[in-house]
Amino acid sequence: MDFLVSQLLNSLVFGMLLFMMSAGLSLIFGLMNVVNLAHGSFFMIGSFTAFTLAKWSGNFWIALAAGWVPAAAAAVLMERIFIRPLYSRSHLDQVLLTFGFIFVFGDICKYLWGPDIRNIPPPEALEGAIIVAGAVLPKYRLFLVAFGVAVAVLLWLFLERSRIGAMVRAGVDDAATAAGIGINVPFLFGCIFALGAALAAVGGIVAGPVLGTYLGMDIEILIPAFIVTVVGGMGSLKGALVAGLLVGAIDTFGKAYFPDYALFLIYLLMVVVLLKRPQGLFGVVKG
Amino acid sequence: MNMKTSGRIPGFLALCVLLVLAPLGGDYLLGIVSEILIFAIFAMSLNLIVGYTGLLSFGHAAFFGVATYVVIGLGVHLGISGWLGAIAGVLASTALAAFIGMFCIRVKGIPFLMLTMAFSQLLFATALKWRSVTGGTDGLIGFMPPDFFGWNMGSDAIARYIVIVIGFLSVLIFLWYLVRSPLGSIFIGIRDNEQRMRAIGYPVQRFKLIAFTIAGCLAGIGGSLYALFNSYVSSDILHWHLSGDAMIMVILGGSGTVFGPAFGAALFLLLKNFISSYNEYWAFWVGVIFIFCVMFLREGVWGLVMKHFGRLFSNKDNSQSRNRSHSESKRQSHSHSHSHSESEKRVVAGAATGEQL
Repeated sequence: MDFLVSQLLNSLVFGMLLFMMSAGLSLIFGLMNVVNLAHGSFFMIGSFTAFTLAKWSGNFWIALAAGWVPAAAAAVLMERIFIRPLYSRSHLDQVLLTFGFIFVFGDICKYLWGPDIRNIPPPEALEGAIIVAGAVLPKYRLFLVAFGVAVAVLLWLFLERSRIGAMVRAGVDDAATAAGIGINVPFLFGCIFALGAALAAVGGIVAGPVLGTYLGMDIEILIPAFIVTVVGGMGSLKGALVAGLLVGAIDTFGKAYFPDYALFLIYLLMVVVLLKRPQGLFGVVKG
Repeated sequence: MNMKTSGRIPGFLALCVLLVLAPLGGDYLLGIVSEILIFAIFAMSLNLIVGYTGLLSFGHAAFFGVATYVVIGLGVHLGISGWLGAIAGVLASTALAAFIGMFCIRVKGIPFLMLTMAFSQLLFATALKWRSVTGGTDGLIGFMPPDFFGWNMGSDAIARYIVIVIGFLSVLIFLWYLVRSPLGSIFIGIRDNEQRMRAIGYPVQRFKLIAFTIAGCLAGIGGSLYALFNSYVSSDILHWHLSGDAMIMVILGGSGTVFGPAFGAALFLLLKNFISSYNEYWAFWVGVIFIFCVMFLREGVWGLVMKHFGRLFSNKDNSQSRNRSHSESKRQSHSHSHSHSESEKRVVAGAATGEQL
């Protein structure tokens, strides 16, 4: 029982991290038709930045509040300077472009922070654990789940209630018509790209105390985040949340109960969903 | 017929001369050249689907890696000769490509990319976990390379090299003929305008599967040669990184020509070897060059070379050398005695949809 409860918490933690990664990935795809292969890099940049900020200030909350800024700035530059000139070309060219950035961002992080594994210390208030039904539940992990829920709610409010959110939804449904009725679609692209990067970076920051901060974490999170995006449906926030929790649970419980087959399970899930429902569980079919 | 036919024979002879001269440079150079040739096969095979059929695959390492595993695995576990192993390896990757292809070609664009990646990661996971057979990350050691006309390929670098050169030239010539054959022009047609091909009445799905299977088979040849060359395999060979490397080679060299990716493989491996010897940030520079190629040099370094090289030979029509695929589809339609305007339209349609990879 206690094992089950603590695994459940772990699966929620991983699910929330995947959600933060794939919400951005999914919105960017829904709006721009670009799969940002460098999305994991923002996760890593956020984590490393937060590590440095936490070391300087000694305060986790400062690192969380400001650590996403460099990643978002990098995303804005990347979108403006590199992706924008390619809008008139095939989407696949844009995907290739983001692939090149994996190497560039990876080596920039290597240059700035070196190859050591770093650890962001969790805030003092969240050290220790509480015990529920015999299971030891670290406070920080509980916070992380609550944080993920808060991010999901804020993001939902932003998309459903704000004016920009309405524009984004219009753009996801039909970018050409949205542009036709006077929505500044290129501006929207920039906003969503930066927002997605900021979300990924925040994910990387809060993941720091749990997963550590190291080179290569970009690819490690990217592939499951892809799977979440594909399973949930490109362009769907609900899909990112549901599939994030699903993949988080399958991966965590798979590793706990069938360690030899855990890796297969999530890939198989992706293959089955892609073949049975190419648009994903909650994706919209584009005309 | 035009500058490319006249430039191809001297180009091929120049390549042969270079390949013959390589053994004079010593064993170290020979090792690098051998590796370049193997990855050139791999990159050229990927380009058949990426550059000629217009399908972006991020899982091509699956076919390369499976062939390597079959050769080494049969040799280590069952003591089967590397030659038989190589045949089995190529057959295995061909069959695998046909099987995976059946699923992948049902979708296109980004889902295709994802699905190819998912399948190759499934194989990677298998290699990682099925340790009794694959050795996992430690890999399989103890493979005995076979003899080549009395020379042992394990001890004699030149014997290895000769086998690899034969493999490379065969694949190169095969692809040269393939892309100029009616089948090749169907692939190019699918890339340029799939809908039109469907409307004309081609069973597009079947031809996509054929392209995917041929590409898998050729990657298997590369993988088998790699097994004979390296005598070792670990799960790294199936990793996503290798599929990504092949994609970089294709883009660096240029996806519009058969030889471009081979040139890209040389460029990539030389960059990797030379930059990494005095700068640990070689991946950064590879990334920068890759981004530059995607943005400003979509025809690749080789495409650029051919553009200027081509001008020297052809004074008739410079616009022909402007776009390789342009003149290619043109030549195709000549040989099929279509009208001139038809081929022009096809190319314009391809350019307008932006699908001219």
